[in-house]
Amino acid sequence: MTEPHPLVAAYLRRLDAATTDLPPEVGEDLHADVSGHLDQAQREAVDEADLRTRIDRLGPPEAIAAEARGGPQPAATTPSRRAGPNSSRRDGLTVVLLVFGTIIGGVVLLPIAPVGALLGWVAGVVLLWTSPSWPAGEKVLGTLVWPGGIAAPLLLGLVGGRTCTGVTDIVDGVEVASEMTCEGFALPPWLGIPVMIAAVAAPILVAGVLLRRADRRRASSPSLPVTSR
Amino acid sequence: MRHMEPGEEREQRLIQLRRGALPHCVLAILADGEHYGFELVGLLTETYDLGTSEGTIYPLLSRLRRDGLVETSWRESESGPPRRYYRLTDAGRRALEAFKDDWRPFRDAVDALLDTGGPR
Repeated sequence: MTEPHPLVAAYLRRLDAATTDLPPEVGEDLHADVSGHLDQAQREAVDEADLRTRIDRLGPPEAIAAEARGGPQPAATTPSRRAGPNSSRRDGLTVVLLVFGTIIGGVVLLPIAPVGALLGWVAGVVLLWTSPSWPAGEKVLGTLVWPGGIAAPLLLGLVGGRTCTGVTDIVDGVEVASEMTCEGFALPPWLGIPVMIAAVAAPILVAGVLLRRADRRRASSPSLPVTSR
Repeated sequence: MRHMEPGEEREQRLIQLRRGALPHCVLAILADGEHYGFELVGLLTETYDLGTSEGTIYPLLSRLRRDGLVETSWRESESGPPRRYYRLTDAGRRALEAFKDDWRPFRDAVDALLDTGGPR
């Protein structure tokens, strides 16, 4: 994303302030569309005066909010509620499987089949790529950081001494538990522990980003409960 | 800035006229294919010169979406962030057809009245 020009950032702040009394999904719709509009306007503008003209053409943000409060009512026939809490629940399941799928799959399936541990994460990847909630770039991000979720850095033996006890509880009885014993690592603790923390935090951060973006984009109707906000 | 000069009154009158028709103009544009917001706004204000303030089209799109008449999907763009594309749903197509059936006799009636000056 292009860094928003100060004029653009100021406009979006005014828009957000003007839409605080609207249902959150309406405010998010408007923010997403108007920021996309301004992003393109900024990239097409030849100079600041041109950008100012383009922003003026949008009209004041307060007018946009006012329009959202009581504009023309189109004759809705049979509304089809495609997205809503269901897609929100699905998105949640997707990121949980991406991050913890290997561990869940490992606990449940590893005693039966050696590849069992991968199935949880693979299911997460399938859900991710078949979901309309994310564009391709974010799907790649969700897939590559890290394959296997937080189990990957743990399996790579980056675990520092103080963190392994808690982890061993989760994967109790699983083959990988032997890897979790807190000794003998390639990296010295002063480097290994921060690297491990970053490696474990990365998939959790990515999961948070994916959920936030999906949440912002989600079409939800006013009659449905707004989740997670 | 003008203050309630004839231009300002004209603007208010146009807003009133557009109110009922604009949502269906959006549906009509989307009937030919999907567009993202910036494109759609460009088409409405430049190509068709419906003279509306660009920003007010976005609340309209949001409402059409919540009413199930359009749906959206995010798509990567070659330059810049992902774009949200709007496309017509079946319900939107039905609403557009219903509007066409109502609009044409309405337009003809108003035209006829304006041309003849109405019954004296």
